[in-house]
Amino acid sequence: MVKSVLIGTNGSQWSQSAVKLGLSLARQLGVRVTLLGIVDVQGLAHGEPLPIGASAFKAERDARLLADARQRIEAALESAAAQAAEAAVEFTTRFVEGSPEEELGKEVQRHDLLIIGKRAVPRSDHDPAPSKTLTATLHHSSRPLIVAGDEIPDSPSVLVAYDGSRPAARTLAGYVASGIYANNGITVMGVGNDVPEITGHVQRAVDFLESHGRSPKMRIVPVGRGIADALVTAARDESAGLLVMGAHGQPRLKEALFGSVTRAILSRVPVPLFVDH
Amino acid sequence: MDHEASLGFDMRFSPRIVRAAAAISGAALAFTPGVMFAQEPGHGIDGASLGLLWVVPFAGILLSIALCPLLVPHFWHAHFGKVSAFWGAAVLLPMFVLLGPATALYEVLHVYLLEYIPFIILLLALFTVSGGVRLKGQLTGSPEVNVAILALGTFLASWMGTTGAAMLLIRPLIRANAWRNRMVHTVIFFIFLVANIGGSLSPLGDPPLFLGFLQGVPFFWTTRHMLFEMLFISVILLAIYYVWDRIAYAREDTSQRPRSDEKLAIEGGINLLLLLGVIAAVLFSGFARLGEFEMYGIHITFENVIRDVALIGFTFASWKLTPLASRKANEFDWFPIVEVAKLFAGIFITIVPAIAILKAGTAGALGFIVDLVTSTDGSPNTLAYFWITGTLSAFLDNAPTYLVFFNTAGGQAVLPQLLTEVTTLAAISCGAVFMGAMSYIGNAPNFMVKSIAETSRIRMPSFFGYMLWSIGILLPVFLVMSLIFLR
Repeated sequence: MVKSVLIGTNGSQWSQSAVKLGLSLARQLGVRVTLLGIVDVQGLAHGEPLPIGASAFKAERDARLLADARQRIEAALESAAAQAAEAAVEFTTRFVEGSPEEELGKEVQRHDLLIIGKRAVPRSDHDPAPSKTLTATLHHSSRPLIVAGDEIPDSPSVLVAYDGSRPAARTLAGYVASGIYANNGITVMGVGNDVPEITGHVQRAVDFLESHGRSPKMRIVPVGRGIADALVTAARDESAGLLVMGAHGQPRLKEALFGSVTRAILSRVPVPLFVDH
Repeated sequence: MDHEASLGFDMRFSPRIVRAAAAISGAALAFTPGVMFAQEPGHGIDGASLGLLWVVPFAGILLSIALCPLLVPHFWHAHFGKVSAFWGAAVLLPMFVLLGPATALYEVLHVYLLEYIPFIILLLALFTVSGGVRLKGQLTGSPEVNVAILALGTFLASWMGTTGAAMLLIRPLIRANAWRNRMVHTVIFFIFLVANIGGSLSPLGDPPLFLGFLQGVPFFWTTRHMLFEMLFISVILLAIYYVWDRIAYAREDTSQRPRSDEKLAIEGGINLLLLLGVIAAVLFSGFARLGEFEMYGIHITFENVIRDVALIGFTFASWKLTPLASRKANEFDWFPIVEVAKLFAGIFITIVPAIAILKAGTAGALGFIVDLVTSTDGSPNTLAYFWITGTLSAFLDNAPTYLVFFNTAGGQAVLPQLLTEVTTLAAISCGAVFMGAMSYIGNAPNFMVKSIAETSRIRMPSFFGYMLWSIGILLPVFLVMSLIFLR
């Protein structure tokens, strides 16, 4: 069972979703949360090549961007703390400076579950560059992770995307151990064109869930227009409030060139994603 | 930020620096075949007798400038003056030991009195005077207004320096476009045109051209011989920019556009008069012939002394006459000129052996560079001059790069021929000035503009992201320009 939850916040729209989801889950589970705000010092004031005469401009820019970031993170933490107090959730706040990936990695060791927001995609030249924290955390988090979506249904069901792989099995076990939405409906879904094989995979997950007192439904769908599409449709059909799915690591170059299923799902599926890497 | 406000140089050597420099000097001795040095003041070094190790400090200081801010940023910001002093000492000490104090002193005085001090005084004057002018008011960032600002900046850059023009116009340009979603392309074209290409028409425009002027290139030589190259590139870039910005503008939500333009006004207008004084002083030194005096075998002309005194006077007047509030609004700070002074103090010392070797031509240890820019028939390969000077200027400082290739082409010894033949010197000048736009580190205002844009929350491309823009847009234009004008 989850005893404490770590929620990362940076004031972005998606991290506000993370705070909302994290407080909602903490209230249901009756656990405490830690609200963590990190000023990305390395990201804002990293070394870079400079022409002669420009170092004062860099120093000035770095100082201003850091001051702005400190102000934004402090405001985000204040807002999250106010929401936690209003939701009657026991909380602590932490403000740290450093690499978000490293600081999250250290702090999450004190907790059972990490909740963060999606990677914001810039829509104008004034929006900040997309953060690399989510990708790094997906690959390296030592605890289960929920990436908040943009929707939190009132009485959500749980959708498990299962392909029989080791990451999928570990994620399912992590989800069951967490106790999240333990009394809600649950569906195990397999995506693939080889129905007997997929059914075999999904049946093992169903057996596992039944051994933990759950009564899952089974759903097998063909690949069709892609796995992300199939999951979006299923999440909508099942009124899912949580998608449980194993994140498959792959070489960074391959992921950079072709993207990953996890990244495609993160950008398209509106519900929170539970991953245990 | 609390920067040192003095203009003094930190040239004290710690024992560790002296030991390291002595080690390098020992190595230089070991690798210098048949060292022959003139022992009398005024004769300088025989470059043909110097080994390649003498160039190591020059390469070292340029690489330190390029890499240390990336690899050890905090160390660099705190200690770049000491690094510059270290590399300077790595040349001075071997010179002192091998040549004797007299010739070492002659070399230092020669390069400092005739090049370094006038160079820094001009940069100081332009920096102070142009940093006192401020453009107030609010424009609306339409494609027509943006093109007008870019064209104005391109014109001004040659007469108030690329740094001065860029600092004058970048904030008004950003303010005018703050309501727009897409404005990165505007800042990038601003860097291309105002921070680099526009500065090609006078010695005031870009530091390498002033070094050329100090070497004897007439004031208006670049105006006459780089005008068509500059216009060709500028018109093409402005046309590309206009089409690009029109398309981007059509996608903007124009309901966010400010309703009307606020009247523009100049603050610190006295500095425009002082700027005319700066131009007049430099012009004067180019035309007047008032005689000369000798100091330690170095011939110093009275017109140059008058120019430098006048420039210091204009600097002082600008500082006194510009309201402090105006300087603060311009975010004026002495640190950039202190940084320039400290780093060039080292560059000008370390470049001495390199120039001496290059003057020896194919007989010198850097003969391979001469071969690189010489055709099989022995004539200068002007396209090679343009592309090699340009490629180095894109990543290293363009002032020493210009000096290296100016001397590779024969330098002052063949200046009349270079001025008459035109194309070789034009190729070197075009390479040094234009191709500074290829990266953020090719010219100081490139990075200054980037920093100001980022402080205004514009997401500028990374170092390599910017180079995708410059390779995609500038390189084809430079290629066509070089084939038309520099063959």
